[in-house]
Amino acid sequence: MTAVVREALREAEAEGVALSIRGEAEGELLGRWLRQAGLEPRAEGTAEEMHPLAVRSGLLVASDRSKTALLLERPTPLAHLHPLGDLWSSWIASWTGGARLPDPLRSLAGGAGDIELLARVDGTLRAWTERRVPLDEALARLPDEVRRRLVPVLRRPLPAGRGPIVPKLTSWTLWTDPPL
Amino acid sequence: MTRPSTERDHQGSLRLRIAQTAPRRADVEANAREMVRLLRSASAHAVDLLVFPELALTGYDLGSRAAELAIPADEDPFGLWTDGEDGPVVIYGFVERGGDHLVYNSATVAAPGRLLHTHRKLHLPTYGTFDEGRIFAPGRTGVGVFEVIPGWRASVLVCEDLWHPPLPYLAGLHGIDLLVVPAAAPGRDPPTADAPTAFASVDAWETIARATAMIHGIWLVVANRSGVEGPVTFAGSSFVVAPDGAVVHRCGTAEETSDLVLDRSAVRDARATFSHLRDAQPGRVRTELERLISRNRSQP
Repeated sequence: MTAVVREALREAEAEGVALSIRGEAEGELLGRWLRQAGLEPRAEGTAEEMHPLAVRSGLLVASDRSKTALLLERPTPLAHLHPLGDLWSSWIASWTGGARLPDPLRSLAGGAGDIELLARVDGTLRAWTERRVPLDEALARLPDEVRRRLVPVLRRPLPAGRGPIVPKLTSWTLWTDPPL
Repeated sequence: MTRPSTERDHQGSLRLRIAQTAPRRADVEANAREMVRLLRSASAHAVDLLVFPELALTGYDLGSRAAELAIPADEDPFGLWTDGEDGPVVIYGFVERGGDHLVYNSATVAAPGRLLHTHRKLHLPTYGTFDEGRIFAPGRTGVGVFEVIPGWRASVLVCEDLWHPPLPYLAGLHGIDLLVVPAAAPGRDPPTADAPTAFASVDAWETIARATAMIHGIWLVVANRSGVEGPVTFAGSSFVVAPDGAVVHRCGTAEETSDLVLDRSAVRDARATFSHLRDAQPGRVRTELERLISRNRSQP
């Protein structure tokens, strides 16, 4: 992941990274990985703060959105890079002990239930994106309340075309692979 | 000081060096400089065969720039074929401008000062992140054979070509000892307990290569690139399979060079154990293919 960020900075001749974070496990993880790779962020804040700063300062904005968040939260935030954008929230939760529930699901669970809910939701999303299970069939595996919240989001077109850089790790990656 | 390959006492062995480079996209000058540096090092260490990855000269994700970076197969503008009279045979990927003005994803095989062979990639992946079929023309010159050093016959396939069994089958029918596969394979999926290599996708590669080596009783070298282009991280993880199907060497995921001595007697031993090459029936394969093609033509 950090190699992709480093190469993106080189190709863009950018001065560094501005972190767009929401102050939870994903943001901490991203910041830690970047620092460990010697890519100390030049600034840190919300997407609304970072984007104009990046334009003025020759930085690239890196957001802390996971793949789960990018699929379930629209519109996607302005960013040049989504370094965690091919990592499922449930993976991040297993590494860090927690992860942010995507906006459509935030009122549904709490505490330890979040990780289990993320695992089920990610399992559905993986079936749809990686194994090409039809969306309705994939969603049918979820509890009714969860499905009811996700259907309106997932029926909308996914982000496509040449867009932000997401380090590719899985078999289907946003902005890299053809739309589903 | 090196001696010419023809004079070295090989005793059935071939000194291989894998140059697992991380080419810079479209920066041919920088890539060529690095390749020449590695070529000189290989020459100084009496390497017989130096293998670079697919599109090592140009980088992979070229899009519309591929045509402007194309060079004819019989030209060596960067001095990659020559290092005195006794350098190694070198294999590297480049973008070829054919005599037909089409652009190919090709691999050069060159001895000091001369071209031995050019392989044009036949199977161009055009799915998922891959777009080669929109950039390159498919090779139509088939599978060739060349002699690396006396006694060692080899073929080259490029990356996806290995995933189509007819091509190694055709190479195997020529009685080769070695199949070299320059590649630019991305790394996909983190490792699992069942697939403990650096990227899970490497296990698919090794499975196919191991089966190919066993079936045809050949040494098989996959020289994959490392590094990053855009969102894609290339897996590196080059490896060598012995004729009995054992993976005898693996590289890491980063840039590195790796040396290995290949023993030709392993080919003899593998073919004594299995008789796949002896029992191959290309005539029957041709008959069945003709029947299949004819039937497909006659169907509405």
